[in-house]
Amino acid sequence: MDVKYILPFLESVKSVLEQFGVEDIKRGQLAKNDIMHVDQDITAVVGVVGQIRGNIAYSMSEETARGIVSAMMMGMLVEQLDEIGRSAIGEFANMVTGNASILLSNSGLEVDVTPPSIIFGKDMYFIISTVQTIKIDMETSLGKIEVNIGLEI
Amino acid sequence: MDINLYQIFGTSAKDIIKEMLGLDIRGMDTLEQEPGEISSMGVSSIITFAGTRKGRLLVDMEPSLALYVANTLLGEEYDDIKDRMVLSTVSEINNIVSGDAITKLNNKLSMGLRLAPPIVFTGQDVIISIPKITSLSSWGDTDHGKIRINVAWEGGNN
Repeated sequence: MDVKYILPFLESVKSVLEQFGVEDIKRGQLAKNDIMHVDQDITAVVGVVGQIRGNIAYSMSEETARGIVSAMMMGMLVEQLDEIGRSAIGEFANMVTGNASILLSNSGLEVDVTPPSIIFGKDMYFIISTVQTIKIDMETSLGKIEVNIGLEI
Repeated sequence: MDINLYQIFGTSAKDIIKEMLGLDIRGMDTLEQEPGEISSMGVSSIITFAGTRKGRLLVDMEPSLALYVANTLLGEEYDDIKDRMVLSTVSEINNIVSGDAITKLNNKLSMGLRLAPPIVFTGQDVIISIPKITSLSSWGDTDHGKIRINVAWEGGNN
C-alpha cells in the first residue's frame, strides 16, 4: 500500500485532535497485519468507497475515549461513556475519515465515507480488509490511538 | 417506511446460505427495531455502503453456526472462531449477501450504492453501537445455530 494513501488518515487524526486542543501527538512505527488483535476497549470503524475502497479502524482505551469526548465537549467532565459519548466517538472517527477523504480528493481521488460503527469488547480479533492492514500507533496526551488502515486500491 | 430496503437483505441471506451451504434458515420473517446497541452472538460481520443513501448490514452468528459455515465451505475441521479462516469465511458470506442485495436495490431503485469491504470480528462481551441510526433485525434459526441480519439506513426508514 502506497504511503501516499496512508498519510492523509494519519495527518487527519493529528489535525482533528489538535482542533480539540489535544497535544503531544506523535506517530509510532508502521506494522503490517493480516488480522488485527486489539487489546483496547473501543474500536470505531469507518468505510471508504470510490477510487479507494477500504476500512479504517481507530482503537483506544475507554479512558482515552472519555478524554477525546471531553475535549470535543470543551473540557466537560466525562465520567462514563454513555450514548452521547459513544455517538461522539463515532463522530470523531467520521471527522477524521471525512477530513482524510478531502485530502485524498485534493490529490484527484474521489472517495466517499460510509457510516461509522463503534465496537466495544475485550480480547478482540478483527479482519477489516481482504488485503494487508497497516497498523500505526498514535501517541497523544490522552493516551494511545491504534490506527489500522486496510485499503484495496 | 420502505420495508423492502430491509427485507431484501434477509431474503438474500436465506437464498445464498441455502445455495452455498444447503442450509435452511427458519424464521427471519419479521423485522424488530433494535436499541442503539447490539450484543454480538459470537461472530459478527459489518458491511457499510454509500450512494444516494448510506447504510450498513450486520450479519451476526452464534459460534456453532460460524464454525459450521467455515468447515462446510472450506472442507476443514476448525474449532476456534478466532481462526483467520473462520472469520474470513463469515466475512465472505456477508460480502456475497450484501453484493446480491445491493445489486438488486441498484437495479430496481437506481441508488448507486457502493460497498466498502466487510469487517468481521469476535471477542468477549462484544457490543456494537451504530450512533444516530435506527436499525431493524430479522432473526433466523438453523440446525447449527442462530443468525441475525440487522440493517440500518441513515436518515431513518423512509
